[in-house]
Amino acid sequence: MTDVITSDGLLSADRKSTLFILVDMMIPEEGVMPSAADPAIFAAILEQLTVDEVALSSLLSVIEDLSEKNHERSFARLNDDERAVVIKQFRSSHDALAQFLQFNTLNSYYQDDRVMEAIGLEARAPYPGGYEVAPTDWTILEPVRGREKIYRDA
Amino acid sequence: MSNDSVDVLIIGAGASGAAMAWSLVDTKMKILCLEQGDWVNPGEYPTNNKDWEARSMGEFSYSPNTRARATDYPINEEESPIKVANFNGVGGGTILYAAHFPRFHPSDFRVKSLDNVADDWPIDYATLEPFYAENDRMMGVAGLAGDPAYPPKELVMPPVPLGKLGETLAKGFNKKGWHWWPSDSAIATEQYDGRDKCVNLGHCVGGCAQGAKASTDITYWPHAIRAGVELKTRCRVREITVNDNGMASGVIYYDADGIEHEQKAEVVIVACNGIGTPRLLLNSKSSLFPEGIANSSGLVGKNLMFHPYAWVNGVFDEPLKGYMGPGGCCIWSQEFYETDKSRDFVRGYTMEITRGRGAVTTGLTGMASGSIPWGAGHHEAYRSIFDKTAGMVVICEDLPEEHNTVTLDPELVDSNGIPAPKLNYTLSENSLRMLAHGTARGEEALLAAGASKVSSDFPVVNAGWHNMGTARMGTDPARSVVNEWGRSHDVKNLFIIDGSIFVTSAGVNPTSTIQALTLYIADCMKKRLANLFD
Repeated sequence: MTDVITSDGLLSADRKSTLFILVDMMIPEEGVMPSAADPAIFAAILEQLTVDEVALSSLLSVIEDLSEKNHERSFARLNDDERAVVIKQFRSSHDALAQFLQFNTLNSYYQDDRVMEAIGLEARAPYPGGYEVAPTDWTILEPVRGREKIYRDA
Repeated sequence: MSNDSVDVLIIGAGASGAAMAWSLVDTKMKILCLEQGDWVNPGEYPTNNKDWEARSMGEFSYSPNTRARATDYPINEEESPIKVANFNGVGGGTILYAAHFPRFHPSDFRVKSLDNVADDWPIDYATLEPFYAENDRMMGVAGLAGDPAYPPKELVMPPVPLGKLGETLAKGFNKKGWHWWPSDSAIATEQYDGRDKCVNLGHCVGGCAQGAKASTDITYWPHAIRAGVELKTRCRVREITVNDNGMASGVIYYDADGIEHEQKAEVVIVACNGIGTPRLLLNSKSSLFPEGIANSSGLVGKNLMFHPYAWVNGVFDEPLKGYMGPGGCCIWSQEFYETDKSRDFVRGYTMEITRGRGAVTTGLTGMASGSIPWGAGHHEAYRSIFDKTAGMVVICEDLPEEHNTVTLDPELVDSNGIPAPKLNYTLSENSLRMLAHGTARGEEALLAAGASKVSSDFPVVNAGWHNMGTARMGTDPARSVVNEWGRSHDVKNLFIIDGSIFVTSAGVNPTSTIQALTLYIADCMKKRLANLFD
């Protein structure tokens, strides 16, 4: 069977291919920015999505159903324009599943070390290193310091 | 199972329960606090991990219905446009609060006299002022003296740094000629009382891994426990019991294994805040109090107030480094705080500048709003927003209305089978006008600061952090639940010390006032120990 998550929790090859195409279409490669289908990132996405196998199975079924209904072919066999139509329909008709996919894709993508560094972040957890913020020059407050009190006595 | 009787039993180990326990230790009474949640291990806070944003949306979500820990209770909030935010554990809501620590203003206690709305409080700013100061010392509050929006007050530590984001927005307020000031923040900006200084992790509302934020598990509780207060966790109180004389005799609670216990006490103090407190009182039915304990006025659970919030964002051309610094504490503006009769609403609001969004949240909110697309334009759109977005929340005073209620849900129960709270809440016309005014002024400030694009929305749905008014204080037993020093009008050894006793909400975060009020009530109790129940 190609349309189920296997008994050991792994996606079938066809379904993994559909998911691969989906996340690549969501976040494609551009310059130094990898695609969400980059092997390391895709593995992380897959690990997160399979925590909720029911939702993952549902979203992939919806994609295939829309693909068959509109184009009478599986999602993997569509061209980019046809896939875009399917994705547009999916996002407008299945908001919760679209958010499930987006959350897990974005969460994995923007934790990848290469991506974090490319957008100007250090590739680490905030703690314990923290961040250095420059001391404030409080002369910026002078216009406010010069004001009379603005609270009411009571 | 029955336990040894105690002199004072406090229900809830959050902002007010902790302050009360600490204040009463010098009476040498036997004090016990029961808390339904656990101690929280700072090593589990989200910012210990790269996936801190996901953790903040799950196990450390401020929505109890999303978090759904065994220590949480569910809330039916289907009939409310604003959803509750809280935390159940030692420290209570202070575990996940932003530590924004403004005081109320003198006018906030006199809204009837000054503006002819709602009711005056039975106490005033001057009464609370020494307790605000004492609480500031205990919590360790950072800020800058001289704010023209407040009577003079001393701050314990230097203010949090503004950073590039704060300075950019401050210049916008200066251009407008509007008030702004560095926020009073319950965040250690230098080593203080065993706490390390803030290292600008950026995400205070998931819990402070550094221990710089003043949650009461690391401020009041260590002092109270060292002085002899006993704190028991995983003890969920089902009801307050009464004796034949109509006095509280103790409580029935469940331990972590679901085993029922009876705890006797001479004095019972409720500190479960604006949702949990009315829930407990309404669940405490008896032949003497068939409508729930302390409810002869019928006002338990009524007059629920949130603070209606709006968010206002602006996109700038330059990176603002907004992910650095205390996330919820930067600067505030109270230019539109006091009533101005030329406006179409009474009372007012505070604009509180927040710092930037995380990398994942930027993507999620961008996709949700349509500003970040799937496909070819993703990266360019993302780059135009990430670390270039600054904004604020507009926090509006909510006036009390009896139809805004906390009742008991007829079906929903927690894991111990205790009826859960149900909210019925609507936004008033006054609040809606105030929100509209605030978002318009917020957008003006951001544009003046250099934003190329602004956006706003209200109400912010998941912003029910502040739950107030559901067991209000007053001198008239027909119009209030507790008297002017927190004692139940009906049951003379039952006290309430949390946000539920607020008469009005003001337009600022309430924790500072909840704790000052608690210390004031504790002081009143200590002065009356010989005739506390008269």
